[in-house]
Amino acid sequence: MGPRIAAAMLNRIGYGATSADTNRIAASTARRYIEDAVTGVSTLPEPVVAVIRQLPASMPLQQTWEKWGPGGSERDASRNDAQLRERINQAEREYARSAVAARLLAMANSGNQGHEALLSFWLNHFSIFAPKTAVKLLALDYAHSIESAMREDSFEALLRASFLHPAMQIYLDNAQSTSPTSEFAQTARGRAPGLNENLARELLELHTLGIDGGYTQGDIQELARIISGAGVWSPRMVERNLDRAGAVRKGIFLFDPRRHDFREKKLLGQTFPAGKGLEEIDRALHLLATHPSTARHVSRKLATRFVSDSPSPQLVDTMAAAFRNSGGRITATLVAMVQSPEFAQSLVERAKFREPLDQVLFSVRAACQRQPVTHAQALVVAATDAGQAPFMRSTPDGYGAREADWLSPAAMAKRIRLARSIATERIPFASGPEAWIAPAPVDMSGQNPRPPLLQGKPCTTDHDAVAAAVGPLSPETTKAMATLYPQERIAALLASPEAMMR
Amino acid sequence: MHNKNSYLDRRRLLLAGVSLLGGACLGKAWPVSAAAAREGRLVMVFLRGALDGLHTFAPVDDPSYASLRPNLARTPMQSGIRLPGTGFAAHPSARGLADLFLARELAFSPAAGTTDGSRSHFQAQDIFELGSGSARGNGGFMARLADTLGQERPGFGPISFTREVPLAFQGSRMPPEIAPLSGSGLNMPDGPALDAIRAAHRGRKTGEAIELAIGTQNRIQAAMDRDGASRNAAPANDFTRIGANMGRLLRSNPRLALAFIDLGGFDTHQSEEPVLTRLLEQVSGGITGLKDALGQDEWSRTRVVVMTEFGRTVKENGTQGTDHGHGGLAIVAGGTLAGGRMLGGFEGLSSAALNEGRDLPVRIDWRDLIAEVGRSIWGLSERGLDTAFPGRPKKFTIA
Repeated sequence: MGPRIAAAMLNRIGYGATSADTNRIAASTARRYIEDAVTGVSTLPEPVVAVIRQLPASMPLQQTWEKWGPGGSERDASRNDAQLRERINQAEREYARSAVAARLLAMANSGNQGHEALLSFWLNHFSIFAPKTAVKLLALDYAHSIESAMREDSFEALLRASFLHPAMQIYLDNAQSTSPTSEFAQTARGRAPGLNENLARELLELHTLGIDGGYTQGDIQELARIISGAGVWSPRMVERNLDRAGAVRKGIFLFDPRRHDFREKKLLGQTFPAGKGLEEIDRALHLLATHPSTARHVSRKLATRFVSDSPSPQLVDTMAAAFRNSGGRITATLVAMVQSPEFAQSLVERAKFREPLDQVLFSVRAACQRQPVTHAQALVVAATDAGQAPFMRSTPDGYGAREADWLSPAAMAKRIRLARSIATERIPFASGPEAWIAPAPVDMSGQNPRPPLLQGKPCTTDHDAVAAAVGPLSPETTKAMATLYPQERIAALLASPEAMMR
Repeated sequence: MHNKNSYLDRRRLLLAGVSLLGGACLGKAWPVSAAAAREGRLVMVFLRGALDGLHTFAPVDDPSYASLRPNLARTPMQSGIRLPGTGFAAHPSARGLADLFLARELAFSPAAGTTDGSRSHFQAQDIFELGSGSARGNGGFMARLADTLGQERPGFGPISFTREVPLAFQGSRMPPEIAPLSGSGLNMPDGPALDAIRAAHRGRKTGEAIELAIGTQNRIQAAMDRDGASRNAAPANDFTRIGANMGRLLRSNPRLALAFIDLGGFDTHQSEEPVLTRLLEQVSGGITGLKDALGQDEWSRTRVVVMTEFGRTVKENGTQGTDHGHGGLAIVAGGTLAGGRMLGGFEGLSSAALNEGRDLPVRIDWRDLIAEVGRSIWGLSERGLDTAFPGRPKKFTIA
């Protein structure tokens, strides 16, 4: 595709056109870029892998869940010990924070930028909020599940991976959802929890059909009845009872018939006969994934993120058609997108405003082309400061993808400060302590919010490499920067209008 | 090697009223307890914007003082707190500093600085932070001190109470911990880079947003007396609280033995009296707050050094303020300091004594002053000090 288009692709479906990546992509095609992004993997430099391996969130989930999950051994032991409980809570928060770090380390260092950009899209589309109770322990495993599903190149696989993950079951309150007709509700002494519609609503509104997708309030309720019983396994549960009930366990996901509504339902005009358990959930997910509105909703979201803040109806239709005709393949949908004239035109215009996390990653990658970025805490602080850390969006709609969602005076001030800090090598992105160290153990007697303590090495910034990553400048920008010294130039480059558009 | 006995002897001498003023050479050991010599701590407080030292500690006994500063001299002369044996009086807002002086825990030089005569805030601040006598370079003196200490006194840690690593701490093999105690700091750094960024974005929506941010920043700065010369430093008008927090943090982390914080807002070109009244109260409150929070033991091993990039003009200007000068105030305070005196001497305000007829000359180079503090609290070798402060004049020494 040549170096110019390669750079544009890396900026648009990636985090910036560093020279190594540009050279490699230039010899490839747009189609192969998409295929590698969807079905490929991220290869990370060994030092980055070593840091990720050390993160609390990299501990095997089963082990972690058995100890720290609800009903886990350590959690139980802390019931009468306030100090131990506080330590457990602290450890959980570190766990969650390290999950954010793991994502950022991959996004900052991967040679397969398209892969990370797309994975980030799906994690945002099926957004979870790590700080909510046990989701802290599940966030990174959730990311791995979504990643595996993405590589299957099927929207339905993504939908299933998200739905069937305990993180989503807990985040959108389905794990406790109990049908009033169910065995648990019937035998409960005192009030049993009722049906919770949250996940059902967001499945329809956010994950699949979209708000104008043609479903009704009635459909939400029916879907809630269908998915009742889906939830999470706890170490407290008695194996024998689960077997007797016919519960199905996949890792920590659990379908428990004792909470399920087995009556007949009607969803989106289709009849779901009585007596079905997990199979009717599978059927419902399939129905949602293959609904024509889903094709349009997902296509519009992809186009908004990767083409334009208001993509044309024609582009959305083209992509939706490719989605439907291929049975929901992500590659087909995205290839239709990148082969469209609108996409080609948008690459020339470069009118998509970099979202805050895009800007952080672009700047760090541009400045750190000579070394891997391994300071996990520095990345977490930068992403949090920018207001777009992974897993930290509290509402399930995920972070916005349009300029209007992000452009503000305060945001511009932050970008300029970040540019200067990176240019003057004041943030230790390159490397930090080997082990994951909890931030701010120092007691400030509650007077101030705990400040992060950051130690480490900054990246050695190379002016020419940064200039190459930013790309061609307008005459106005060139003129404005004419009299600057090199370090000032680097700051001005990273905060230039050209650096902020992709 | 310093030992407890010489310290006690010295204190006895001081109490007997022996004057130790004058000359660049002190001639005697700066006393320090054995404990402090093993595990000293240096807290560097850098005031950005060029503090007017002559309004902080005013030369009230000088015959030319009142005529050079008809407006500004009023408060120091009427209600200044005399610093015995010096001819100076502390501004009443700097009560805490005066108390430290009277308790012999503070010493000052009214005419400290460096050889370079730059009166540009940015350049002079860089020259200070780099500590090599020049404005170019990418490693600061705190970084070099940290490295030297790392070799000669292992097991300690450096810390910067700023949002990012300041220039003074850059380039170290052992970068400092960062614990920002200052406010939200959304300030964009002033200077040519910001001007270029504004120009590049002009006419775009991003440009509009930047101008709005700058407008807000200017309004906040006007309200808090923060300005470009402060360069993102914490606003001094919060230092009383910040100083106490620093003390608490350092007390619970005794291994943090080299600390830095910067404060801004001192560029008093106009209406200096009301501005400094407020700021000096904070500086004074912050340092006494730091002392109180540290507690007796920790204070006795600590030295606080307060400096600024240059002093200000001896003559007040037409807007009841002062302009950029040369020699400025430097303060050293600590629990086991032999304080209660002026360092490096003072030649007065007659025009013959002034630098370029307008400001104070430099009688002590900062690098010498800080080096001597380092030698006395840590017993650093000459070679270590030379590495930390290359090219220092070595005119202010302790025998």
